[in-house]
Amino acid sequence: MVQASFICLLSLFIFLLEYKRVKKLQSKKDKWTLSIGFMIALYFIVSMILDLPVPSMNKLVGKVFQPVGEPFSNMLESFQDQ
Amino acid sequence: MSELVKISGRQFTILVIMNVLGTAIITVPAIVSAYGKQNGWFSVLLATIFGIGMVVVYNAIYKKNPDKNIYQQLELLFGKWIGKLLSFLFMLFAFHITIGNLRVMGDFITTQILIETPVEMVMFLALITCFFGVRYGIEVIARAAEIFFPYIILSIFLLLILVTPEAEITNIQPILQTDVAGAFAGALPLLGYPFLEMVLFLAFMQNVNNKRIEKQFLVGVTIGGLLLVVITLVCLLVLGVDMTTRNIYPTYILGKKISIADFLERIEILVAIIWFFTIFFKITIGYYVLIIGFKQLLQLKDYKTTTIPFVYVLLVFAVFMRPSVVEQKQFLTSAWIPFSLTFGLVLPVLMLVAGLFKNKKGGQQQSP
Amino acid sequence: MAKILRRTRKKKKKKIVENISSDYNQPIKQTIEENKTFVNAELGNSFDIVIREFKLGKKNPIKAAVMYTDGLADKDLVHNYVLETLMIDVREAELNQQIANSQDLYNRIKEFSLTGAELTEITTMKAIFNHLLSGDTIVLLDGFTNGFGVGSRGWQDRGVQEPSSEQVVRGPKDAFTETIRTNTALIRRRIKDTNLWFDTQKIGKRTKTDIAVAYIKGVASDDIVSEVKERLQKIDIDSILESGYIEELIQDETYTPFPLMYHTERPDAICAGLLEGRVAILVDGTPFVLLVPALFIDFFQSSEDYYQRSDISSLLRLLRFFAFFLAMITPSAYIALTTFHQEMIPTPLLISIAAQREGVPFPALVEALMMEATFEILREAGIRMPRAVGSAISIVGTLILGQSAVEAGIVSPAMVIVVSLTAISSFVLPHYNIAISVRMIRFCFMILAAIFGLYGIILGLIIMVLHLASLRSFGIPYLSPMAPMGIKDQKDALIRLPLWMQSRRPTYLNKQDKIRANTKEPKPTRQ
Repeated sequence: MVQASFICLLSLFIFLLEYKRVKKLQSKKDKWTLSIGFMIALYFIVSMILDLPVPSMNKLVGKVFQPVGEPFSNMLESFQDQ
Repeated sequence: MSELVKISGRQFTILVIMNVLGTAIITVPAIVSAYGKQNGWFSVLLATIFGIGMVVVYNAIYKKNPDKNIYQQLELLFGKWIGKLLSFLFMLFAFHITIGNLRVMGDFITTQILIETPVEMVMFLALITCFFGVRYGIEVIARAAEIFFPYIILSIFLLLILVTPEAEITNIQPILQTDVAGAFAGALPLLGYPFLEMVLFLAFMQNVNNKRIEKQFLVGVTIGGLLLVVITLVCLLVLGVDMTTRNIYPTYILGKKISIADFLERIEILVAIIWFFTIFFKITIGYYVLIIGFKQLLQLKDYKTTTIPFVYVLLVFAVFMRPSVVEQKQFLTSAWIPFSLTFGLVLPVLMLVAGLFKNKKGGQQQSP
Repeated sequence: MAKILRRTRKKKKKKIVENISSDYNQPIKQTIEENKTFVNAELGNSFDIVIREFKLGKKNPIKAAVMYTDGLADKDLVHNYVLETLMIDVREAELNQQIANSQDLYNRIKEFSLTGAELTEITTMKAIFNHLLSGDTIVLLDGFTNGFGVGSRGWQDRGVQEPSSEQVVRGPKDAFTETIRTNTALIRRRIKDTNLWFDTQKIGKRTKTDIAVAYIKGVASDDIVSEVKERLQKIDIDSILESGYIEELIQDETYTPFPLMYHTERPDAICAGLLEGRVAILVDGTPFVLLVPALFIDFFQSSEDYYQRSDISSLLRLLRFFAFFLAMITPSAYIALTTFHQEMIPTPLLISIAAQREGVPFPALVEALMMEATFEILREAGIRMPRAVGSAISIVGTLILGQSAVEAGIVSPAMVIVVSLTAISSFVLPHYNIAISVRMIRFCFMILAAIFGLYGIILGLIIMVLHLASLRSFGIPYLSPMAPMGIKDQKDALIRLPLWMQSRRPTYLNKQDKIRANTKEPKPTRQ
């Protein structure tokens, strides 16, 4: 918990620094993207520290492509066993 | 894009070579020798030839609109919304490649070099380095690659020369007599890794300041692929099929065989150093392509806006990517193949077809 | 709340000190008396301003005055060529020819009497002060709003001496001085080309320092020349006391440990730079002349490289790069090897290092930081010490810190070797400012090595190269000709090929006038 709050504080500091730079661009979209991006980033990093579930990219890709990938892996395995 | 940064053709070639070598240099011998046995090097050769073929496809896409990157092309070919959706999926591919490489790097370092350091810290440091690269832009990345390239090539040749005394020709005999089918199959996981990943270069090919860029691309992939073939061959020659297959990082083990005058021994870390450089550029390119995609997707003014949040996201996803090294290998041989084929082969071919279709339509509209 | 804060911040940003009185632009006054009081009042009756009043002519004497700054003006020149001519020659000339009106007198004085070489007509008070305070002599006539400034600058200076910061075994032994005129002469004497141009301006509201931009027209790229001039124009400051001021005010990037401008006190180095197409900036009051654009490799080259045999200088250049690397990496490599990668050290060596370190109570990082810091302190002390105490420092350094610290078991002998290797390596670098940047980076690497071992060092190196690659000096990438690579430029980069092979100027600097030599390989004509 201490670690999480420390990282949050640090991120806030980085965010302010970065916000100062983005402000100069005078683009509303950039400001919003940065703010939302930081929010998402913080959500992930905090959930990593607090051991909350984070989606695994491999599983995601696996779920979609496993059915197609199955024949490939079966074929490859057959060679491995030789 | 008023001020388009430009990189030279030579720098582009170097980046391509770095990307081909990237993660592959240290793990590929193990993957191919598992299926092709003593003919593993032949699998790499096959994959290289396939890779060269793919580059021809990518070049054709590039040639259609030499001043647009893949994201802009997608929007142009498939309309704004479908284009954006495809862009997003493509970015997912880039994202996966980036965190995959990051994870491979982290795993390697925590298992072989810094055993007590937590993998998060190792990956974080690597990510910070890449962050600097992305922040400075493609021009700086390319220049840095140009600086490191001679040392990488020199180190690879040094490694190969220093271990040749240990080579035994019987290790790869009989040449292409048995297990040829296995060699063909072994090329499969190699297609996506590293050759189909070259599709990422379409995201900034318009930044290359050279008319012969298509040739440069081909040269890069050829040199990179041939280096991989040679490294696999030497691994098999020196370590034998069994040792090569059983280790996750056979090239690193190869480095352990170096012994100069019975004094300088165990300098395998030199191999690791070559590899750090190449994989660094690979992660940076993936990261950069991702960021460029976001700029195009959200129509941002400056691509740098999303760099910092992505440091967090990449780190977290790399940590939670998979639980073990074994699972990585399993992933690489199953879902990875169709996944990489989708974005490296199907999408580009689709783009080509759509381009043809559009051209015809455009031509018809123009003629009357 | 925020608005109030912002408002106060804006208020603070108000104008820079500009209490220089606006009267300065007014024309010269009619009478000598008025002018005298004005000058005296403005300069606060400073006692180094000499104002000599006298009368001109015999029949209708006109009041006249001569002003100069004592110490800045050459007194002999003022006496012989200004006062004497005005007071004696004018009178004699008048005997022969009657001067009809006063305008005639003015022209006569200008055309016949003032025998000084540099003569400018001045009309405003501002010009009077500018000339007076630069050492010129002012001549004013009663009833005229025009005056003369006679060039009479001649103050005590150091004279041309040997360079103290960059010495060579072979090569010219003269160095720039504090006087800009001498410095331009030193350059002009070497390059007798009509295309060598000096573009002068005064910078500094109060110091009014002379700055000269020197370049060879047609060789230096116009972009760079205009860029330099533009950046100089943007400077708004009250004083320029050394070329370091200019460097800091016009360099491309402030937040970098690497020098982006090259400075030297050797005229031959400046001339070589000019002939390659660079631009020199001379600043009055300092012997250090700036040369732009400066690239990374320039700091590893010494002008002596071109006077020695090419094979030897190539070797020396490679040695310098190696030394740069050693100075940067050695302590961190020691830390990484002893704490993380013991297996890389050959066993006998490992045993002896372990035996040495047995009694040392600190981890390698603390040991290294301690010794490096001590060395930096010693070095800094040695530079600014009175010379008489210098030997005391070296005794303290070598005997007490080196030997006794080892004997007392505070540091290991291996560490002392590492520190001395680092120190000697950093002295190999021919330019002081790149050696300083190495000193700074070294500490970052040590910390990285202590946490991540060789992995940290490698990533540190990558970050450093990325940073170097991102730098530019006046539009030229800092790492050229390595990145972007120029194959032709490799003839004079890491190594130096014989002069007859280098027929072209550096391609990264020149787009025009590329050929500089067309000499064939020297061979005996008869055999």
